[in-house]
Amino acid sequence: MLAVAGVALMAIPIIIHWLNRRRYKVVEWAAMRYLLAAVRQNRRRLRFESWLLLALRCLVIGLLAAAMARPLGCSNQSVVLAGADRAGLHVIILDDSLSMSYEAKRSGATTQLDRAKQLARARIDSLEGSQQRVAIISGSNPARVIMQSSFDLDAARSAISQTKQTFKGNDFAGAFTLAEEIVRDAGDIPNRNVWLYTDRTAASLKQGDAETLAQSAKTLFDHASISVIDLAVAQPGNRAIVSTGATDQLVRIGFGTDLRAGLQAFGQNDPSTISFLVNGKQIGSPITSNPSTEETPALLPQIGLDKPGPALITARFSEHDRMPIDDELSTVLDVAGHLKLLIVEGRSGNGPLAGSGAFLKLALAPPDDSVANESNYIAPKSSATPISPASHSPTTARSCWPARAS
Amino acid sequence: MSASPELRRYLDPTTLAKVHSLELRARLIVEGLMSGMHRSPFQGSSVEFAQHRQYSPGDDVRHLDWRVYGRSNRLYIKQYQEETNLPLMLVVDASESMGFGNAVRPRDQAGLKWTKFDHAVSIAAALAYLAIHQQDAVGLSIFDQTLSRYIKPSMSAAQWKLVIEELTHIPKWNKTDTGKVFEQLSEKLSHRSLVIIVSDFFDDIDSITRGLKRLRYRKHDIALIQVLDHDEIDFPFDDVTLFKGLEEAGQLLTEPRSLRDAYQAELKKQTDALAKSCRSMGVEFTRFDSSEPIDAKLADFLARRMAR
Repeated sequence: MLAVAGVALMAIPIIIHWLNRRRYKVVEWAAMRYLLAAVRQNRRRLRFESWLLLALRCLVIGLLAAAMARPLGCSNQSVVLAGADRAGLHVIILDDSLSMSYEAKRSGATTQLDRAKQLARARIDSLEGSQQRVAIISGSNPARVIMQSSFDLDAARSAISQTKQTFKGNDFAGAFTLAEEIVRDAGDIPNRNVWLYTDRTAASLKQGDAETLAQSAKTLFDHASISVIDLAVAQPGNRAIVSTGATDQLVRIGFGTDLRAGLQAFGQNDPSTISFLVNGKQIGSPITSNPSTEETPALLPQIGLDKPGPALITARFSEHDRMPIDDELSTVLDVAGHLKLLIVEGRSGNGPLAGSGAFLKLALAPPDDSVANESNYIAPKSSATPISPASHSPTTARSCWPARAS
Repeated sequence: MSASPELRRYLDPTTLAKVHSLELRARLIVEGLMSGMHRSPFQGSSVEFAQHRQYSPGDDVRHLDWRVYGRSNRLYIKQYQEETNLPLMLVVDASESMGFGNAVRPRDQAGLKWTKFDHAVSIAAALAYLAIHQQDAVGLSIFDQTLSRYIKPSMSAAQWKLVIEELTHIPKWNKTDTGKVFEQLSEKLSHRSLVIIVSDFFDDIDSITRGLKRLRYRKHDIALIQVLDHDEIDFPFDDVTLFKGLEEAGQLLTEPRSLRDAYQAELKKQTDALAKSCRSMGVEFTRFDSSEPIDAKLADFLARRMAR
């Protein structure tokens, strides 16, 4: 729009020149012979100077307009991509979620995240020597901006290299929203791009997030072009230990407890051997199990723990797969050394405030008043029964009021 | 020879423009010049050599013949045929180009302008008054494309009135043909005269030169007074201007700023050519700016004449 206005402004010197030729002073002149002789002698120079002056005036206005406006065509992506020297903003979203730890073992990149960082750095290298700004966002935690929008391409490369693997899932909707904010804040830059480096694992997306993601992507697309660099590999296989712990809520020394591990398979997988460790030492024998797409328990029964206090329980696969990060999971169990027993003598009972120990229980473990809990509410008894004259007689009924003499 | 400070006020074209009486104007100019003038500025220097005579102390040393001295080692004076005051013939250009004038526009006389013709006429009137005052004969010619008016030189008492009356007439503003007029004039003038031509000389130089040669051939003493308007000299125009040529010279729509230098160069070239031509013929050439007081320039002109 500004470019069009600039071109229109260039017409101003021409219009002024034309108006001047229509508005002039009239002078009756006696020395006309000398004036005409001067014109004859300098006709070419005068014409050249006149056109040159007009051209210079138009050029000055044109340059001024060009300095303030962007020429036509810069909003065209193909033009932008072809011309690396155009000023632009590049928002790089790195998928640093758990799935990106998968060891695709590409050349020069062990994991998917390594590969994503490799490609992102190559993208920055292609921007060298031009007026380009780069921002880097985490795909798993958009609230944590890896690098704010900057012209410092070396800093961008360094930030990418230092990006760590996370154990989280993705939040691309949040990443797109943040990218849109960055694009808007950058102002009127002709070349705006968002680059998403991801393995597109469906498991990282919950069903409910798909609509949010689609909406945020649509909004972002109104302000920038979006490119998805798909790092997915064919037939990825992975199995993971998704939970671990003990089957009993109370683990005591001297009493055996079952250690368990939850296994899950993603893609095709083979039977796996699981080992348990307590405080880093293997206990029991390895267990072979076939993980499935649903969580499958693996149990190591009746393990006796002989030391009270916190105990690190670790379950891990004996052999690592292509994604070793989820091949091991640890948890801390609080092993009780002594069990203190309190015996309360009194009436037994069930229900709220029933039995002698009810109030003691409430005192030791008071309920959360902010949570409505029917079991904690004691309704007043409705002890009065309806009284009617027919139901009472002086001789047979006991009533609360003395009978009137009839 | 210069006017007193008080009188100078009256010699400025601004003031002269208000003096409707040409007679009074002429008197004002001349009275400003009169102090210090002891002899007639109209004494002719004839070129007709008669004989040599031996030098006597008191003789004008300007007439010593140095070639004779070089050969004979003796001083001799050249004597000329006539050494009397020549009759003055004033020749005034009344063509359309002389009607141009932006020299002065008195605030209280809107519409009144001081043209080159006004300036020329004032000069002529002053010279005529001076000649009459010095008891010299004066005549007048008015011309444009032809000699439209001719008053034979005379020193009679009525001549002054006649000259003034003629100079007061408003011209018809025709075109110019200076060369042809000079030829006509040379036929009219029966006696050797001092011919003072007042014009802007906006004409073909060759034509002017041919006419002057005719006059010089008849032994007339000639002086040219070119009158130009200040705008014609300075060319002070900046905005886009349509120049309408007087004497049917066409018109030109242009940005004067870009033409100024070239125009001034052309004007100078033509004026220099005319001056050079005059010098080669022994003709005096002076330029008057119509925006400047007449007295200073006229005094300068007359002083040069007296020094000849």
